[in-house]
Amino acid sequence: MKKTISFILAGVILFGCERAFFEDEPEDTYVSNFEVFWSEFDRNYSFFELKNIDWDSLYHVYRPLAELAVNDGQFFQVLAKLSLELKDGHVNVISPYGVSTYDFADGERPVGAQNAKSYLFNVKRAGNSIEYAEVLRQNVGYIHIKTFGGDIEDYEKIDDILEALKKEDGLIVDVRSNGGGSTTKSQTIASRFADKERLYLKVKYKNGPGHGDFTDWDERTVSPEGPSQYNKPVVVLTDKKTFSASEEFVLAMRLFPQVTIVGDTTGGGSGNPILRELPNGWVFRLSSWIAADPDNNTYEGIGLVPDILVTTVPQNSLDNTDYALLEALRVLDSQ
Amino acid sequence: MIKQILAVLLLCFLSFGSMYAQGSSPSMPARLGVSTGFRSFLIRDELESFRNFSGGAVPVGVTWEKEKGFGEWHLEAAVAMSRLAADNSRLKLKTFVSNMDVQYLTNLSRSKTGGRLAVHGGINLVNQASSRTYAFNSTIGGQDPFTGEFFSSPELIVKLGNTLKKGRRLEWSIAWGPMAYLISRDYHPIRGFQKFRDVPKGMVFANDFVDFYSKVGYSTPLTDKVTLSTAYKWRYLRYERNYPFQMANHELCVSISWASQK
Repeated sequence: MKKTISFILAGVILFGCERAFFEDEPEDTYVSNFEVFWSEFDRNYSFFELKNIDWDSLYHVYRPLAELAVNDGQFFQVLAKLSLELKDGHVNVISPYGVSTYDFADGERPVGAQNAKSYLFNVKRAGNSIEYAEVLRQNVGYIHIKTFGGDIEDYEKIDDILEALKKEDGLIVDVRSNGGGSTTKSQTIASRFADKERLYLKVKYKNGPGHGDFTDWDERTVSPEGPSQYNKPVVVLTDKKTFSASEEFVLAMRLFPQVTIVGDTTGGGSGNPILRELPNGWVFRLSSWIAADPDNNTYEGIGLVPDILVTTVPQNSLDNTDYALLEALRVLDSQ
Repeated sequence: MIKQILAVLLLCFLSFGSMYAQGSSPSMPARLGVSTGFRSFLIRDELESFRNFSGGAVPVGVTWEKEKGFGEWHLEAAVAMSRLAADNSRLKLKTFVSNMDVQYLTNLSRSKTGGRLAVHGGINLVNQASSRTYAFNSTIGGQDPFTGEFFSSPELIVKLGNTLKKGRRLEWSIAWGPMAYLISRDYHPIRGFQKFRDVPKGMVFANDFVDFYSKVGYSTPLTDKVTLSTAYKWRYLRYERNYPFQMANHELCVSISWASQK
């Protein structure tokens, strides 16, 4: 028995030293955290070439600032300022000292669906993500999708919502100030309006450390799904805070013949963000792919222009008129 | 290249050459067993994180053994799922690993030792599929890193076995995998299963692929047909794509096996 135990112990001693093969994790210093932050962007961020950003030169500007940081708050400001150089709403630094966020609406504060309430009655909710209603004195249904980041069950109720609104002559789908969420959820909604399978989005992934290393375009299609398709006239409302997965929703919806896009140009966020971590435990987010419409037109930082442009920023704070909604009603009335 | 050629030649020698060095022996009954125990993980996948994640799992597996004229066949399949963590990290890593090993051994020393002390050599074909999901639990939306790989590696294996009193056996195996066929993401951050099309990595040779394995086992017959075994296993695995992946496991396991006939 002694022999056996000795044998096993020898095995443990001989082969239990794998920690020696594993490199140490980067140190938790400001410089080391900066190096990790810069390197993760350098190898994973997808828009350096598209946005013509010289990431190497930014290293030489911001690394000395990281060296000079004397507390976490200052260091956060260094990373936040560096991240804002990318002008990307999908880039954030998340720390106990705040969250850095790029204002892709250029300082504008669209009111979203806030002013639509006075035009609606019989308002109902589908979870926390969707509200639906009827428009006063009109045979028009209204669906407000607040986010595509809610529970999947909310979006699976779309068939019940369309059933409830089927007596209406048309529909307004409001994605104003919808900051996005999941592509799957936006596609679930769009599929109920699809007339046939259509290519609506192309994406290419980073596949190497070079700023221009990408896969070929990967095509995404949307097909009719659900018990029935909604083929009456539809207006989709957008504004400058319609962003990310909501823009993918618009990309799909604008292909369908019964759909008109009304509102403001969208926010222009197409990057499919991934999350990463720093040695100090802070988290950051960065865009990981390039997306384009079926004709290979990218919209990152540009946005999607609606069929009918209606600026959604009120001229004064007392004006509660929802001009985009009124325009949507006019469009539906004319069809 | 020389290293690879030597490895292939050695594989051929061990698997076929020794057939002719020994006579045939009568077939032994097949044994079927089940095993469980504790397996520790240490994982560093630099494609996704610079952290060293560690944790434990309870693997469950089945084994099948059959000794035939020229050698022994061992089949072993096991699965393990584990939640791993790293120091100073908000990330939690969930990993799933499944193995199916097919081992063929020939007795290189039977005629000299009279059967009590034996040296076996052969091939252990390791097939491992694993996946890893890193969860950030972040307030801001984003895709959690997800990755995985499959590799099939023919390891060169040598087993020293000593038969003790009352049919007890003590064995020590060491193995080295000089090459592997690997299917792995090698760069781009595809998330979820739906687009796992990334490119089979292809054959990875010794310079990129390193696989060491060691096992110390002790078995004792409980009855004529039933055998109880305990083993300590260790494996270290590393391969490179654009960024290295490393995994080390310790496993202490107990298995019970039944002979199909006396």
